[in-house]
Amino acid sequence: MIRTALAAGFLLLAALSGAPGCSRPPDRQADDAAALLRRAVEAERTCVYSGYKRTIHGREGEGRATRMKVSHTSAGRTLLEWDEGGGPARRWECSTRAPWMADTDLVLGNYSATLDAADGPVIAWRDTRRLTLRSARPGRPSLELLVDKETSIVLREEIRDFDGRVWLTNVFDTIEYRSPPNAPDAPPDGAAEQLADVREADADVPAMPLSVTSAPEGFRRVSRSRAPRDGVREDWTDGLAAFSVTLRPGEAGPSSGRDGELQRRTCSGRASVTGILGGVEVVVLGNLPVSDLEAVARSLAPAR
Amino acid sequence: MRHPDPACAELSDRLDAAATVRSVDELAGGLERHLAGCQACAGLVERQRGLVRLLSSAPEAPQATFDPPSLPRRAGGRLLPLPAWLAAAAAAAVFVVAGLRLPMGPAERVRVDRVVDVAGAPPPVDERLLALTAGSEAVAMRRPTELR
Repeated sequence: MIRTALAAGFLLLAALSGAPGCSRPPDRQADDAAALLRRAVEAERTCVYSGYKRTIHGREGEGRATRMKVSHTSAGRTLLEWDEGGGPARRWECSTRAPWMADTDLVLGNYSATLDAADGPVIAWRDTRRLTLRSARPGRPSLELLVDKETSIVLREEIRDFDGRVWLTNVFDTIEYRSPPNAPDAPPDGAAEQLADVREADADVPAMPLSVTSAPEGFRRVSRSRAPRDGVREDWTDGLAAFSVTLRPGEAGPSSGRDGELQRRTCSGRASVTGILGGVEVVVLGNLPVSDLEAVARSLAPAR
Repeated sequence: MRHPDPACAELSDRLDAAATVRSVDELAGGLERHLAGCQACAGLVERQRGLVRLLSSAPEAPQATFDPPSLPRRAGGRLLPLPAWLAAAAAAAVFVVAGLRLPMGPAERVRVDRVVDVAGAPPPVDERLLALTAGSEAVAMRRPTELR
């Protein structure tokens, strides 16, 4: 009797150790997830493909959607094309489709990557793996990716805002991979408008009259640029979340409030803090909780 | 007090040698002649020889060795298990880093007197921020082609 119970226990332990999710230690799983994220970024740079995808404001099937053709040429160009209600086709060219692809180290430094042991759902008739990026800090967005199991191209991404609501969904309906020798190297007729890379700094940007002395943990300044009405602007990001600080000469008034007053505005997934501080109009805007943005505004100090 | 007879004084200085020689003839400097004529010094030497014999016949004293007790490493006045120069360098580095990260005092920052929550007025949509948080496709989708 005892021997039978021991044998059953041994078999149960053996079965559990072979079950999905128990086969690899957690640190190894994190390494696998980080490696897959890096492969996805590399695949986006090297794979040649074209397909149709939808960009949806909110959850798939619920929010406003834009259907567009996405193609990546062997020359490394990414083109976005769509018809605007029967009018002439619009065509955009961008260097990086997703912002988290621009700096993988920054993303992995601030967000922990988790790879599901089980396969993800089929997207655009392709098998996928599910990769999730979450921050240990509260008030940060999260990202769920479904990555092509074979090519590592991201076929679906779902961004949740800092409240946990689905904010944006990008999903391929079809995708066709081509080997580089057979792929079209030139875009179709018509010039493509460039979507500027935010990380490209403007030349000869004047110095900021105030500077951020205490940014939220994990954030890095990625650009400084000119803003309308003699303004100067800085953009900061932690890989998924971002905020901007815009400064320009300002005067207290009915709309801007009196000097020393901060006005906070919030809506789903983003917030702003504005005010006139020491004769400078301050606008702090981002997809962070308004308390974080207020802390940024309060940390401003005369630039040295 | 010094002995008035120089020969007696010299023997007093060399008493150990006089007591340990096998024969007084081995003593140099005329001491052997002095001992032959000075009864007091001869008695002194004889008494010293007796003392030497007594000590030589005594059993050897047992030898004892003591190991010093092993003390905890940090009990010797060193607070950290580090060389002094390394501890000093670490302390200097902490001081520098802390100094760099120290936030500015409130007096140096902008003055905020009041905070107002504005209802019913959403924050503006900013394309650069949209590109940084959602990517190029989200920037492009600001011109939708279908509504659901």
